[in-house]
Amino acid sequence: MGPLTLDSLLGLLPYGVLGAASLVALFMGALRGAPQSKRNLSAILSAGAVIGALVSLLVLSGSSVFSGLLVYDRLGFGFALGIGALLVFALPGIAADGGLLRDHVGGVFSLLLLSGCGALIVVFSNHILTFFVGVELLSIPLYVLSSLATSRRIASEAAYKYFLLGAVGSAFFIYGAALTWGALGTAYFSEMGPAWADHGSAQPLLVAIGVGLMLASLAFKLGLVPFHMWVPDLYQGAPASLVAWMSGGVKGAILATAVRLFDSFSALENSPLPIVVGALAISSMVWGSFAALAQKNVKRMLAYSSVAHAGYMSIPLLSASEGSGAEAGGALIVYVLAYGMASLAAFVVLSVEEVDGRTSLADFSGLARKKPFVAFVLAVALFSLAGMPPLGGFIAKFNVLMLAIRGSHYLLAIVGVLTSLVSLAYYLNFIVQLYMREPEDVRGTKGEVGPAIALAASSIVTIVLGLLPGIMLAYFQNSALIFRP
Amino acid sequence: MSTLTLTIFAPLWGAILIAFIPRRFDRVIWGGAVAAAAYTLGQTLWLFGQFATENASFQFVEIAPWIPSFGISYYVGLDGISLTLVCLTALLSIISLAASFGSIKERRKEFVILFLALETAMIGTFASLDIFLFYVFWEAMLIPMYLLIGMFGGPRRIYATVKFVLFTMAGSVLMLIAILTLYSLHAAKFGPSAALPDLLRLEIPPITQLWMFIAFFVAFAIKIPLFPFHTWLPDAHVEAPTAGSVILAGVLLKMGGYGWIRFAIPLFPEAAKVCAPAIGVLAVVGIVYGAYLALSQEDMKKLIAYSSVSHMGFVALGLASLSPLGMAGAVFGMISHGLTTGALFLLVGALYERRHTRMLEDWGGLAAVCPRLAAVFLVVTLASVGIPGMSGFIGEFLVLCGTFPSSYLRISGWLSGAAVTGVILGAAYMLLVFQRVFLGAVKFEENKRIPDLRPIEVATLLPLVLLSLWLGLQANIVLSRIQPATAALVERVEEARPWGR
Repeated sequence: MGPLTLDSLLGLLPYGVLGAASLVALFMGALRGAPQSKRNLSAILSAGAVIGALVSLLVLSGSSVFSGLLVYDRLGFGFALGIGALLVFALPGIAADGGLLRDHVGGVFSLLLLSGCGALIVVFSNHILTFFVGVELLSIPLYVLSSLATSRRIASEAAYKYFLLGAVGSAFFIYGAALTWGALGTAYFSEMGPAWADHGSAQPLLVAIGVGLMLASLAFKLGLVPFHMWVPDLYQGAPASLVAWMSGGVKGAILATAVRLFDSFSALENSPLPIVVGALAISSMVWGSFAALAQKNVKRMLAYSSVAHAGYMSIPLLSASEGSGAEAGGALIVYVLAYGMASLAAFVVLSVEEVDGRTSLADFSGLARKKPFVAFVLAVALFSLAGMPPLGGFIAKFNVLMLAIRGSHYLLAIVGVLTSLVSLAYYLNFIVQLYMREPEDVRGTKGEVGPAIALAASSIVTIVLGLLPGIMLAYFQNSALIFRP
Repeated sequence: MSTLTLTIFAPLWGAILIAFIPRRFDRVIWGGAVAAAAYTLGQTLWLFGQFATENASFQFVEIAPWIPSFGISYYVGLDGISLTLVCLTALLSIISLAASFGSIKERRKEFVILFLALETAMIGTFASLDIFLFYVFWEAMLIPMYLLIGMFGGPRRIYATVKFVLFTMAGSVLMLIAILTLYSLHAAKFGPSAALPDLLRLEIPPITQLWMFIAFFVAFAIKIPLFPFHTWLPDAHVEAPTAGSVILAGVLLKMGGYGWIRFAIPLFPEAAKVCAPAIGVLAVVGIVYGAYLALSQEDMKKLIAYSSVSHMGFVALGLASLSPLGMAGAVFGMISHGLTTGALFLLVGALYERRHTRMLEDWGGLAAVCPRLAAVFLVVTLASVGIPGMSGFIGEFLVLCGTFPSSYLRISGWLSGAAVTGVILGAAYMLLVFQRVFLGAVKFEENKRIPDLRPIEVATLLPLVLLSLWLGLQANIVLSRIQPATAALVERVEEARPWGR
C-alpha cells in the first residue's frame, strides 16, 4: 500500500461530503427557529449532501482506491445510485414525521447521513475490513433511530431486538471473515473465490465454516429465512418513515457485497453455494408470502413481504455464483430500485396515516375517497410489489425469473411465480380496503408537502421503470460491471 | 404516429386528460370519454375498411425497440383475426360507456378512467406481436377490471373480483414461465428476441413443447372459460356492473381464444395436435354442462354467464379441431357471441334498472307492457340461440362442419353429436327466459308501469342487433378477413413434423 496521496484522498470524497454534512446537521439542530422549518432545512441540506456525494462519485468511476479496498466499479455505482435515490426521497417523509423528530432534530439527520455514508462504503467495499466498517456505520445509527418512534415503548423493544441480533450478526461476520482470511490467505472479496479454488481444499472445514458464517451474517442482514425473526418486530416498532428507507437501502448495500462475493466464488467448480442460496431463497419466498397472508397489521404484512422479496433477491445471487455475475448485478440493481421505491411509498403513507401507531388493515378502509392521491400512490406501490405490469416491480421480477430460467433453475422460477400469486392475494386485499370499502369516519387530515414529494417521486419512478426500462437495463447489462483484479 | 398505435392508446390518453378535469364537470367527463371511445371506433372501422382481404399476413405493422438489450420491441400489427376482435372491442366499449351513463351513480370519473384504460389494454393485447408486450397488456388488463368490478359491482363483488384476479393470474404466471423458457430457447439458438415471427422459427423438442403448450393453454383456458376452469365466471358476471359484464363477456373471454390461436397453436403445433382430443372433450363438456346449468338458473345474469360458458365451448371446439372451417367458425363465433351476449347483458341491465331484480320469478307478461323491449329481447334471444339468418348460426355451423371431419379430434363424430345437443339446450333455456319474463299474464302490479325502451337504450342495442343480423346474412364481410389467417394457421399445423420421426 502506497503513501497517502491526493488521489487516494479523492477516493474518500463522497464519505467526506457526507461526514461533513452530518456534523453540520448536528449543529443545525441547535439553531433557533420554528421546529418545522428547522426540520425542512435539515432535510434539504441532507438531500443536497447525498446528491453531492453521488455526484462526487462520478469523478471516481472506474478507479480503485487504497489498493483495492474500495472499488468504484459500475456495480457499486448502480447500487449507490439506487440507495442514494431512496435516501433522498425518504428525507421529505422523515422531515414530516413529528414523532421521530420530537426531541432530536439535528441528531436524527446526522445519524441518517452517517448511515447513508456507511451504505456507500459497503457498496464499494472489496475487502473484509472496509465492509465491516461500512456495515457498522450503516447499522449502528439505524439501531438508535429505530427507537425514536412515537410509541417509545414498542420502538425501544424493536430497536433493542434489532441491535442485539444485529450485533450478533456482525460478530458472525467478523469471525467468519477472520477464519476465511486465515484459510485462504486473502481478505479481498474479489480474490476469495480464486483462492478457494486454488488452495481451499487444504483447509476445507475452516473455509466452509468461515464462508458459512459470512453468509449467515449476510442472510441475517437481508432478512432471509431462517434469520428473519427480527424483521416483523422492527418494521412494526420503528418509525415508518425510517423503515421507508431502511427496507430498500440496507438490502441494497448488503446485496452489493453479496454479488461481489458470489461473483468471486463463481471461480469454484462444484461449490455447494447454489444449493444453499437456493434453499434460502425458496424458504424465504414461501414463508414470507404465506406469513404475510395471515397478518392484520399492515406493517407486519409489509415486513413479511420484505422477507419474501429478499427471497426473490437471492435468486440472482445464485446465478452469480454460477458465473453470471454481471447479469445478476444488473438484475439486483433494478430490483432494489423497484422494490425500494415501492416500499418507500408504502411506508411513507403509513407514517402519514397512522394514528397513535395503529396500522391495522381496517384503519385504511375507504382511503381512496378521503385522499385519492395517497390511495393511488399506495395502489401503484402495492401493484408494483406484487409484480404486475406495467410497473417497475414487474420488470424487476421478470429479470430475476429470466436469470433463473437461463440457469435452468426451474424449481426456483416456479416457486417464485407461485409465491407471487400468493402475495397478490394480500396486496389485493389491501387495495380492496382502500378502494372498495367505505371509510369509517370522514376525518381528512390535510396533506403535507414533504410526504407528497416522496410519494409522487416513488410513483413516477415505478411507472417509468415499468414502461421504459430499456436505458437502465442496457447500462447495467454491461459485462464490465464488476471489478475484477 | 401511425394509425394502429393511435387506435391502441387513444383511450388511455383520453383517460389521462380526463383525470385533470374536476369532478363537477360531469357532462364534460362523459362527453370526453365517449369522444375518445368514438374516435377509437372510427379508427378501427377505418382499419377494417383498409384491410386487404384474402391476405394472411399482418398489416398495419409497427415496430419500435423497447428493451433492445433483451430483444423486446413494441411490435404491433393486425391480421384478420385480431382486426375483427379489435373492432368488436371498440364497438362494445363505446356502447358500454354510453349505457353506463345513467346507471353509475358514484365515483363516475374513476369509472370512466378505468374503463378507458381497460380499452387500451384490450386493444393492445389483440394487436401485440411481441410476446413480452402481449404479456404486459394481458396482465395490465387485470387491474382496471379488478377495480371496476370491486368498486362498482353488486353485493358479493369483492369475493367475485378477487377470485377473478387470482384465477386469471394463476394461469398467467404459468404462462410467464413458458414465455421465459421459449425466450431463452430462442436466445440460445438465434439471439435474444421476443417477436412472434422470430419465435415461430424455433423448432422445439416434443416434451418441452408439450408442457409449454399446456402452460399457455391453461392460462387461456381459464379465460375462455373452458370447463373445468370456468368457476370464476358466474360470480364475476353476476357481480360486475352492466358495462363490466358486457366487456367481460364480449371481449375478455375472447382473449382466451385469441391467445390460443395466436400463440399456443402456431408456436407448439405438434403439442396442439396431441392435445386436441382432450381439449375437444373438455369443450363439449363445457357446451353441454354450461347449457344444463343455464337451464336451472333463476338469476338472469347467472344464466347468461353459463350460456357464455356453453357458447365459448363451441369456440373452443372449433379451435381444437384444427380444421380450416372449424377455426374460421370459432373466430366468427367469438365475434357473434360478443355481439349477442353483449346485447343480452344490456337488456338484463335495462330490466334491472327498472325493478332492481334479475330473478326470473319476479317478472312475467312484460310483452304487453313494453313491446319494444320484448321485440328486441326476442331478436337477441334468437340470435344467441343460433337461428339461421343471424350471426350465431354461422359460427356454430362452421364449427360443426369443421369438427365432424377433423382427424385430430379422433372421436369427432361423438363430439359433434354431443355439441349439437348443446344447441338444443341453448334454445331451451333462452326461450324459457323469454317465456317467463315476457309472455303470459302480468304477475305483479309493479310490472305494469315499467317504461319501455328509452332512446339511449335503443341507441346502444340497435348496433348490436343490426350487426348480428347483417353478419348472419352477409358473413363474408368478416369471413373474407378471417379465413386467410386461419387457413394459413391450419397449414402451419399440418406441415409440422409429427413426433417420433
